[in-house]
Amino acid sequence: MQKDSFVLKMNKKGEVSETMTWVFATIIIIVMIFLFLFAVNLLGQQKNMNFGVKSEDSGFSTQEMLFGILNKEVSGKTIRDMIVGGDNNAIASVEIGKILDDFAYYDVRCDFSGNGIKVIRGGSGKTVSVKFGGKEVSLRC
Amino acid sequence: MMINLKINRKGDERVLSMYWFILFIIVAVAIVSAVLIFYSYLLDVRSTEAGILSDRVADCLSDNGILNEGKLDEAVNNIEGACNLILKDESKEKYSSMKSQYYIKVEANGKLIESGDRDFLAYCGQSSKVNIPVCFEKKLFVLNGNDFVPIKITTVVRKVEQNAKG
Repeated sequence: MQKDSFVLKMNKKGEVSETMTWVFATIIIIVMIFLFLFAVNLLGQQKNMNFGVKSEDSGFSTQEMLFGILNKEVSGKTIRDMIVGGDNNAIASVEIGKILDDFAYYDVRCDFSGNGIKVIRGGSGKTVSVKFGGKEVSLRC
Repeated sequence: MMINLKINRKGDERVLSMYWFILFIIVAVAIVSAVLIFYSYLLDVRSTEAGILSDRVADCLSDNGILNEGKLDEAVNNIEGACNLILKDESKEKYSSMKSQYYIKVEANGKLIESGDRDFLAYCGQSSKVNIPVCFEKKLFVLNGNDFVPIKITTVVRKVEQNAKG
């Protein structure tokens, strides 16, 4: 009889301990669910359609400016022809430097590079490259 | 003694089954709520739309880096017609009756082109981007003759009802 009551006491202690474990487990699960819902709410607010590419960096305006630079005439010859010829690279480099200085005056900073010419004016953003006559030039604005 | 223990075990199982059922409901409700919360936020495409709009305007006024003066003169009177832009949202009937949702401003070669609701400009530079129009500014240089001229394009897209949660 004494043995039986001892066994019963042990069982009750075990039941209380098990219940407390589940109560804490439930609390932890509920807290985790709230954190999950909070994170989902934050993620939902961030929904936009950038697809990892900023619309500012579409590169279209950079492309138009690169074409503009290549089409500019210096002493009856376009910068494009100077680059293709190669012998007027020094003149082309100076002229491109002047053009990029004018751009920078209006806070449009671009870097030009290609065929040995490198003009840096602190350009940041998408780089646009164009190939012609076996030469490749690029502009980053 | 054995009988008592059996009754207790049955009770334990029932309580535990109830507990699991409630927990299952809580988790299911949480998952459904999360999906509803996430999808209740509308996809905001206005900054991309404003960027595309400014690209379209730049493409219209410049051809291979050379200013298209004919188009520029045409655009002074009607930029929508000159650049083939449709600035009306007809995706839903309630949107088509709304007043203009766009504003376009172009400064090029000493000319000023404006189209749409000018009041949207007041929202440019504001830090909040949720329930107010979204602005986009683009600066580029194109050849006019043999000289570069700056073109400044500002586009503003309102479309709050279509893109932002109220």
